[in-house]
Amino acid sequence: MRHVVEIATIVAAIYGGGTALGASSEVQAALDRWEGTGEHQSIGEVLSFAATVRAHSARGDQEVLGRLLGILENSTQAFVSRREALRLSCELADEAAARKVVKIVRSGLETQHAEGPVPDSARALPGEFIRHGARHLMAVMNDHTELLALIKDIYVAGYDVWDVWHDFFHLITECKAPLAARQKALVDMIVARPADQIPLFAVNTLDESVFPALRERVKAERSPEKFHWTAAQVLADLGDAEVITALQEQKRSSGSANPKRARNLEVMIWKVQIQHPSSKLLDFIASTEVLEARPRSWAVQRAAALGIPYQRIRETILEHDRQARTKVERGGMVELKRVGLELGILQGVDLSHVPLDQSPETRP
Amino acid sequence: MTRKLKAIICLSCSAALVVGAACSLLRKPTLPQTGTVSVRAWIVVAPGESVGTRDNDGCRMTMAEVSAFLNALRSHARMFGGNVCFDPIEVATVQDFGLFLHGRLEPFSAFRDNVLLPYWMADRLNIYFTGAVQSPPPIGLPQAFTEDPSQSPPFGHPYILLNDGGDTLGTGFHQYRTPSELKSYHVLEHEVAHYLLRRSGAPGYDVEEHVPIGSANILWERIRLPPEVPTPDILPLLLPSAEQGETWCRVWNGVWNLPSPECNNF
Repeated sequence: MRHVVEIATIVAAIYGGGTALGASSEVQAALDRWEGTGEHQSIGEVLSFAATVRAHSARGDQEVLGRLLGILENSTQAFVSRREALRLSCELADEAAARKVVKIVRSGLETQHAEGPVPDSARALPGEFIRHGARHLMAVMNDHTELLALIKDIYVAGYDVWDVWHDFFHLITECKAPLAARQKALVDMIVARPADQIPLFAVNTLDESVFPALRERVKAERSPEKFHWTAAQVLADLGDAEVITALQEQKRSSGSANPKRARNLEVMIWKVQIQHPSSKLLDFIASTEVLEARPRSWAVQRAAALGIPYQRIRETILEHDRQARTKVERGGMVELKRVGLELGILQGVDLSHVPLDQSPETRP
Repeated sequence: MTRKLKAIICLSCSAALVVGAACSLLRKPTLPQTGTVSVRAWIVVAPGESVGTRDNDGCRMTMAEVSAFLNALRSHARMFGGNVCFDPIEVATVQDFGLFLHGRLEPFSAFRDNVLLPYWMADRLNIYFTGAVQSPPPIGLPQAFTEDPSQSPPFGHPYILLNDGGDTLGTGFHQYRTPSELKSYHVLEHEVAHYLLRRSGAPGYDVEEHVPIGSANILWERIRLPPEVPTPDILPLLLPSAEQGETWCRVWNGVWNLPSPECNNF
């Protein structure tokens, strides 16, 4: 018996902690104390339990996962405790556990939804799932359909999204669900929040197939307070010529009473017009024209999304770099280079005289 | 190159400390001087905009709201240990051409080129009150963020940036719900704690460098977490005592804005 224990210890050491043989004694002890303290734990204790489990457990350890999911589901546990259990469950989950996590988060979402307005304290778990959990699950799940639906529903349900705003859209666009399902989810998200901004990288995954649903929203309400600005902006980004009428109507009604809104509408109309034909985008990129709220980096991203060959876009960026002389004309060069490199339009040697930001990472 | 510069700065700081200590031995012993952090707050608006206008592309906070942030920081200064104080606190307005180019949602690079680099003061804690500037890639979020003095120019320009989060029809960012909500003032204290602590890459913190592992105190939770924590409207943030020692030490030694590990002997 002693030999068996020793072999288990050696195997555990080789694999860096817990293995298929089961949780180590440190992990067992940490989980025992974690489960036992209920709502009276200090944050320091919970973090220390979590650190022990994280250091000594392997992905897919069924015993550890079962107990973590138990803590996650237990509504009498303190929030911080459930949050750490959620993070760890996602980090350690195999495919079966990942499906359970999705089910638990969804069930919490539905319960809170059914009870009326979501209290501040209940907003945090779905946010944590988006912030720290979903990406881990994405890596171990083969079928992303349920995960996609959950991410979309958290957004649509109106949770605070300010600090995970990009994460929602990155998760939706990067998951392995079929393109049509991802586009449908994005349309639902756009429709759900009439005064939001959708990141351009997400807009660029959409195409003409979403026009009818979004046009319907734009036409549904004409008063500026209820007008669907999100749908209108997405259609403008996508270059839908049919949206121009609605935008011009809004611009007329905004008029001199709201010059800022009128200006934003003008920009949206410009965005549509400059995509017809798409070669106008290239002319704009190459020029030295400086127009309010019309950055070249936007034009480059749209040109790429519309399928214009990268070599042609690259040439126009380089042409702009040659022509632009004044500080004002060169105002967007750093952003232009960053976008060009990100999309693979520019190579490392291009625009070597334009320094990219070398600041160390910042903390939110 | 960076390492070399850091080493030079460390050596200079150490030398300064040694000289300072020797001088203080020669003089009549005195109590430590109260450490102060000089603050330069910048309210960033677009060309042609005025401070406090609610549909600005730039900062939509009023001067009174900005002052309230700064006053809260001043009155809660003791959370950073000892007799730390923020003084003087100066406020200036700056026009950001990047806003003209990009509109309200501004990429960090545009902010950096048009505001940060031209309007940055080496001897001050530079705090920028802005509209919806995105944090540097790859995060890209228009919230509040900090670059601490882990590097100095030309490699880094330490700063704190707070976006307004006011009403934003057409942009959708409601970061602090309403700028006048008292608990939002702790966002600035939180960022100042990052700035003075310089936890970047340091062990002993959680992955976000917000929570000291094993500590019952919390740096982060009071801002956004809710349940079991007393309402943040009443209490300022808490820093664990060890961290208070670090921040106080930097301020007391006058090296709060330098990238040096000067507190090891404290």
